[in-house]
Formats: sequence, C-alpha cells, structure tokens
Amino acid sequence: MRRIKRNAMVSSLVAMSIVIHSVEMFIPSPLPWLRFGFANIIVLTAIAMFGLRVGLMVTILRVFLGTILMGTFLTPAFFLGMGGGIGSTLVMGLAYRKLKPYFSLVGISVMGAYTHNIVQLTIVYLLFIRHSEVFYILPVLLLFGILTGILNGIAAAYLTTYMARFSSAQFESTS
Amino acid sequence: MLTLPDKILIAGLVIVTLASFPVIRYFHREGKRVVIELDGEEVGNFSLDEDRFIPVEGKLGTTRVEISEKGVRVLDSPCPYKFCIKSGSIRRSGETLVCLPNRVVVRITGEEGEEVDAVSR
Repeated sequence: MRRIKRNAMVSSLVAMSIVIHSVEMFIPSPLPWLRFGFANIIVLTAIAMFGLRVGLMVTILRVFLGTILMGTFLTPAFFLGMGGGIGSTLVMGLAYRKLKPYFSLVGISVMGAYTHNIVQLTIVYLLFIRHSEVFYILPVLLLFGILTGILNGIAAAYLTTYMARFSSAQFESTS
Repeated sequence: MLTLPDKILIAGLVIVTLASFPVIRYFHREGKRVVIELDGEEVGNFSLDEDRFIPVEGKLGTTRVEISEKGVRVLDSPCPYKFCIKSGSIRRSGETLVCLPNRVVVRITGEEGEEVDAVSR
C-alpha cells in the first residue's frame, strides 16, 4: 500500500514538472538561455521527500516526456535539458544527503541552478557552438541563476512541508 | 528559512560570478586577422591593424568591406535586406558579418590555431 502511494506521488511529481516546464516555455525571455527553471521546484521536492534516486528519475522522465510532448525530442533542447538536469539533480541530491544539516533547500537549489548553467553552457560549447564566445554569457546566466535558485528553493521548501502535511504516509528515503 | 551557510554560499557565488566578468573579458582578446570568404572559399586574409577598403566580387555584385580602427564593417552591399551593413562593426575574434545573398562572409580570427581561449580549459 505504501509502495502504491509512493508511486502515485512520484508520478504526480513527474506530471507536475512536465506541466510547469512546458508552461514556462511560454514566458518570454530576453535571452534564449535565460529561464526560471521552475521545474526544479519539483525535483527539489522529490529529492527532499524520496531521495536522490527519485529526483533523478523525475528529471530524466521530465526531459524524455516533456521533449516528446513539445516536439523537441533529440533536438539540442533535449540534450541541454538532459545534461543540465542530470548534473544539477546529482549535485542537489548529494548536497541534500551530505550537507542537509547546514544548508536549507534554498542553498541546495542555488547549487543546482549554478551547476545547471555551467553544464548547459559546456554542452552548448562542446556539441553545438564551438566558439569560446559562448562563455561570454556565462556570468549573466549565473547571476540570474542564483536569483531563480533562491526563488525556487523557497517555493520548494513550502511545497515540501505542504506535501508532507497532506500525505499521511511516512516517507522514507529510498536512496 | 535561510541558514548561515546558505547566506555564505549565495554571497560567495555572487562575488565569484561578478569577479568572473572582467576575467572573461580579459581572456577574450581582440581579433587579429580578417578572413573574407566567398561561397565558402577564403578569398582574402588581412590584418585587422591596417586600415583599408576591400571590394569583394560576389554573386550579385560588389560588397565593399572596410577595415578601420581595428574593426571591420560592410560599407555597401548589393543584397536586398542589408543585414550585413546593419550588423555594424565587429572587432572580436569569432565574430562574423554575413551577406547570404552575395555569398560573402567576413570573419575575425585570432592568432593561428587559436579557436579556443583559456576560459574554456
């Protein structure tokens, strides 16, 4: 019973992250890589409630299903999403596991956002634009990433306590 | 909600990021050579330091390229939309001016074999 409940929770987290990510594409942005990354709220919540493994699962499923839905499967958007997503999820999951007593979800979210930007721009450089000029934009992205990281972290902290309060099950970390 | 390590982390990252602005700018040196390509083939290679006019005979007519004050721009072009002229002057390594209708590409490069700079290592 607990397993079913957990699976239902994880599936709804995946669904939420896909919806949030897709809707976010419609928010206009001055630069193509400047995004809020609201889907990260869900990944953080998944990590806080179920651990790194489920966090990774949510990220990977979100990128697969999200890009298939948006018609960007196996395009640059797919590889960027996958690389940045897995990189930042790994950092956040490990940080949550090892550094939980010190950092709140806000700090962990900022680490994830920072990683996400660096990984994505490195992928852009390695796979798509072989010009070192791409790194020109990195500080701008990183500054913006810190800001969105803080916002997402606050949102994730609220969502985590909310979801824990409204689910009777005791969640144990699977990782 | 924010713990002390959170604040230290955020402040640290902001400082590192702000400090990286001048560092990246520093490593991003000015270009050295102007390469002109016609239909994908190199037809000219000039120093960015010497001011000069270069007429390039393209598919539609003559694209007039000017090198002045360590920058390159397209003065005049027979193409319909004049994107190459509107692109203005370029001066940094890796920047390009493209006139697709006339098949002319003006590219700035650094020293020989210098595609990657120190930032990316």
